[in-house]
Amino acid sequence: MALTKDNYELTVPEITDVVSGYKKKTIWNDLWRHRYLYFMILPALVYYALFHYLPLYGAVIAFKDFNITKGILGSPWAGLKHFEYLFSLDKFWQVLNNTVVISLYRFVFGFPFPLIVALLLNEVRLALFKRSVQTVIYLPHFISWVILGGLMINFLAIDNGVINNVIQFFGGAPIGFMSDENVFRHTLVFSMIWKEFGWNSIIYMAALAGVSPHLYEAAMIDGANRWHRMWHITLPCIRSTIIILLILRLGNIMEAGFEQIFVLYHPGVYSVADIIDTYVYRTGLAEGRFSLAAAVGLFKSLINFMLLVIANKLARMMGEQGVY
Amino acid sequence: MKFKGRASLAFDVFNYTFLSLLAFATLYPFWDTFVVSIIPMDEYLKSAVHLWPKTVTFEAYTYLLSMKELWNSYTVTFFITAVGTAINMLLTVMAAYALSKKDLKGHRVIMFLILFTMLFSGGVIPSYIIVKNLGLMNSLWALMIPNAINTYNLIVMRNFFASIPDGLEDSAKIDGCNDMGVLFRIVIPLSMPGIATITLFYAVAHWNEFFNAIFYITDKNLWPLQLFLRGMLFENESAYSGGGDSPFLLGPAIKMATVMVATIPVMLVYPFFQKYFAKGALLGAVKE
Amino acid sequence: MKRMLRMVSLLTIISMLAAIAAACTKDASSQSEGGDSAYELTYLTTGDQAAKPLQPNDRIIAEINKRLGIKLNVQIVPEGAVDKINAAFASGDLPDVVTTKFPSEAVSQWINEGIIIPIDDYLDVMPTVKQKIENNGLQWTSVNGKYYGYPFISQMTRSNYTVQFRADWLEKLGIQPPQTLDEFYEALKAVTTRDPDGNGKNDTYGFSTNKPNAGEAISAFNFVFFAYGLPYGDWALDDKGNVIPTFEHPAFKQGMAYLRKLMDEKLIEPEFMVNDRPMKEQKFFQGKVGFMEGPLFRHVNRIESGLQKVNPEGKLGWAAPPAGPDGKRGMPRKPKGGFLTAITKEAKNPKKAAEFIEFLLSKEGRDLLQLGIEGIHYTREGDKIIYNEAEREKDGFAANGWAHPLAWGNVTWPIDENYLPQTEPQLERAKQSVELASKYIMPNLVATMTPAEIKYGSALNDLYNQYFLNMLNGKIDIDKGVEELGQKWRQQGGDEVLKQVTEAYKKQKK
Repeated sequence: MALTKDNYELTVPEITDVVSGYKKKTIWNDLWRHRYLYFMILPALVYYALFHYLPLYGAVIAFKDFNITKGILGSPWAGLKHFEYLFSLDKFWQVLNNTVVISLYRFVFGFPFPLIVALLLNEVRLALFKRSVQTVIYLPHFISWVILGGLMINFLAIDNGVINNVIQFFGGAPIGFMSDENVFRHTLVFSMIWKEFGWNSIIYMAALAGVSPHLYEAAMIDGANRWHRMWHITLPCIRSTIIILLILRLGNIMEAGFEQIFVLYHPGVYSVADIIDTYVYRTGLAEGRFSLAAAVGLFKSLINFMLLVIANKLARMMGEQGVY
Repeated sequence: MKFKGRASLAFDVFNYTFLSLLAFATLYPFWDTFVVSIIPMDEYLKSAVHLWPKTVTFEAYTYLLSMKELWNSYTVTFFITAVGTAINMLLTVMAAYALSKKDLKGHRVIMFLILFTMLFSGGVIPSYIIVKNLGLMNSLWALMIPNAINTYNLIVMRNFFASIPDGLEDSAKIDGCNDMGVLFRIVIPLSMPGIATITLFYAVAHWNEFFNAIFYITDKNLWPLQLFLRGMLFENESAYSGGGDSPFLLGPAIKMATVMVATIPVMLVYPFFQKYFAKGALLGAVKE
Repeated sequence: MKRMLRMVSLLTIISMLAAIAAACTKDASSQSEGGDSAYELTYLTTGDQAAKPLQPNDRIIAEINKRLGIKLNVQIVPEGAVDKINAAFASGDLPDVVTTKFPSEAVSQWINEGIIIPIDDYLDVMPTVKQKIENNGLQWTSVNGKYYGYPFISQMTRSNYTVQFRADWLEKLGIQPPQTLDEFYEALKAVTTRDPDGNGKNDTYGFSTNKPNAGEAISAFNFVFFAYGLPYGDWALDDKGNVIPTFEHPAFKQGMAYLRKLMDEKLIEPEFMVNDRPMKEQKFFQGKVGFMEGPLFRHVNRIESGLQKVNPEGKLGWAAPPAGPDGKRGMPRKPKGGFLTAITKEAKNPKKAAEFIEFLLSKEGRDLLQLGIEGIHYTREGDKIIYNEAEREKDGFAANGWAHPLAWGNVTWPIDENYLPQTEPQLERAKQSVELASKYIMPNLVATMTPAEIKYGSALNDLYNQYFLNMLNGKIDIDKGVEELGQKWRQQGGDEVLKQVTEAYKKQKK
């Protein structure tokens, strides 16, 4: 390496000068050394600036009384009026509660299930069987809730539904899967898992494909059984993927599945199934009321954001890279 | 190993049975949709569960495939899926790779700024104004450019890149590759499962696109497939009570045939991605 | 140097993408601008979602352009999404003419901010619009004495909504279509218990319905309340002449008690709330229920043929809503909302825009949109119309003599025009069903929809639905339910609604 100005400065004896000069120069150094990398981020930065940061000013509409003629920035400030209105709604706390409960319920059962399925598929040695199962479980993701809803009613109806016929055949009392307030949330959560677990397992399958077979070979020579291999090789290898998905999932906790609930619910189960999104949509609360809609969105985002930041912090404390 | 054979066998029995059950449970909706699409209306109405068709008719498909709107929207969706995914992948892979470098100054700040947009948005008005000012209104680019990067996919992609040992890249650099060269010659071949996953995610998202189309497309000839499908599925309340001509009048077979026609292409594409998810898929790549 | 080249090439790729994007949109706009200098009129509408797409060289649009001297650019919003229209307006992207849902907060805001303009100055070029407003009693839609567009409210005077039943079952059981609530009860009981389908199983229900649309109140059972003497569709009056919600009228409790009896005896399908409309009809076709409520008109043929697909003997019957103890009856409520077709402040030539709205509604326009151009799309032989399907298809007309994509959903629906093409199966019965149902439209106490109703309406309906179901299912005592509902209803915006409605009522009485 030739003697450049940078190297040269290192020879200057005064320590403080060395440190500050070194720092300044290394920033430029770093930038220059990684110029290709920065360049590769550039299009993404332009995209985010243009389509995400530029429109972000629109969020202030939640604190304004939106006036179309004056525009978002020219509209008069309204303080926290829209939030206060939202929180003053009798039903708001009920639907917030439903949102959180359904979402957590879904998280607890729905998050691990695709992982488990991916691990089980990973243990399958018959390639054809593995591929077929993978393809089939991926299918319901593409069938919309409108259609699945119709099917579910045929299966789960209290009267002549397939499942209830079986229950009654064995002498049980029929269950109102679709109409009983005590059961409806289970119906929601398990049908969501049913629809999406195959799709969600893809990402784990991809991560599992990256685990080096040499590790397994070595473990087998050491006499590790399947359980040990899974616990000590497979899981640690895909841990970072699991944690990333976990963090992102937590940052999405306020989304409890609008489309599904909107198709399946009805006034008889509003008390347990009505979430913020369905409530706001159904009552037309935010229709044409952009300020209120923004307030609802901002409220949800804040909760999601807090959870995500906490989850990321915990992950980094545990030595993981986290999402940022 | 030997003495564990029995437990291992029991596990296999359980595993195969369990996965088969899951497969049946998930195949059912698709099968039912298919069966309803090929049976006449009377057979559909006579029972709630359709396990096997008694009479097979392709009337619904004949009707559907003769609809010009279907082919229009097919073309639209193929176009936005192909071009949109290409744009997505180019931007996502480059950014994700660069951001996976832990020694890159500012990568955490950039990641945080990107992540922030996943949670907070300015709402529909400013986005609408930007799309309009860019002249994308009623153009298919409105369905590709505003969602050129999906942050979730970017993060997952970055995670895949991060799991590649630095050693491999360093050796390539010594061989005189710059970062771009390393990415395309070393890192991408080593990340094919991740690349395949993200490509699939993007492609499927484009395939399922309808939301932006509602806002940005008013020419029915530019409707993507999912808008066409939704038009067939949802009965239109006002058309219904006002006595207009509603697709609902066409009966269930046509609806389900539409679902099949809209789903089969994505179904067929999956096996091509699957090979990247096979165990040891990377082995060959590493040796090269 | 090499690096520089790579950087440049990357930038080129990005700018190319942008260029492609720009190029394509330019193509689109230049296409629509065309060569001539006629006034380009952009029409944004929720439209008729079931219609075919507009064709690039549509001869009907060309004809409209010719007759009105405009260059029409129609934009139909996918899925009739009002959200999209609201977003476009809020972003300042205004068409010349718009059709959107009303009354709504958005429309009120547009009026307040002067984004849509009054049409009063142009009413002399809008004779049909003027006449429809006056004949249909739509004067209440004016704001501060001015009309902000043509208010299209479907089924104001003509309705297709009444009680439907399996006529073949009633014949078999030897009962007449029920005329009173008592007979209705007996008929439901017979259908439920006397095995009308003769399959030897006790598997039929008397009556079923479906869940209400988002934001609407459950209204399927309202005919019972009207039979017990509820006098208006929207509000009721107490002894002192004060406006009260309908559920506080004595007829409501009586009706509720009647419905409780039906529910307790399992004459109503217990899980009816799970049904959507197609599911309800499917159960009717499958012979799981004998009675349902719903629309007829064009559906007469569809429902009956659906029925006969399962059971060739099946026959659809319909009857007037059953009468109560004092012989009162009623079923459809007179609607207060629909679609507003308005002119925006961006319209460079509001008079032309007004002429366009008039044209959509006028006899001349109706003929063009429904039938097409004589000699091309149809020919006449005396009273008989011969539809030229091949030519019609080229311009996006729907099959079997049906209309152009612009015909419906904007300013009218077939039922309001009493229009069915001559090709329609069961045409006479379809028209008869409307004649019968229209006799029982319930009038409103107050013509107007107040701002408070727009604001709180859906949330109050929600509350009502919850209590209605709980009372129906016996989860709460009727007296207690009505009282609790009354309190909560008032707390959650009902007080303000009542105040405004009372004012409107007093104003109307003067």
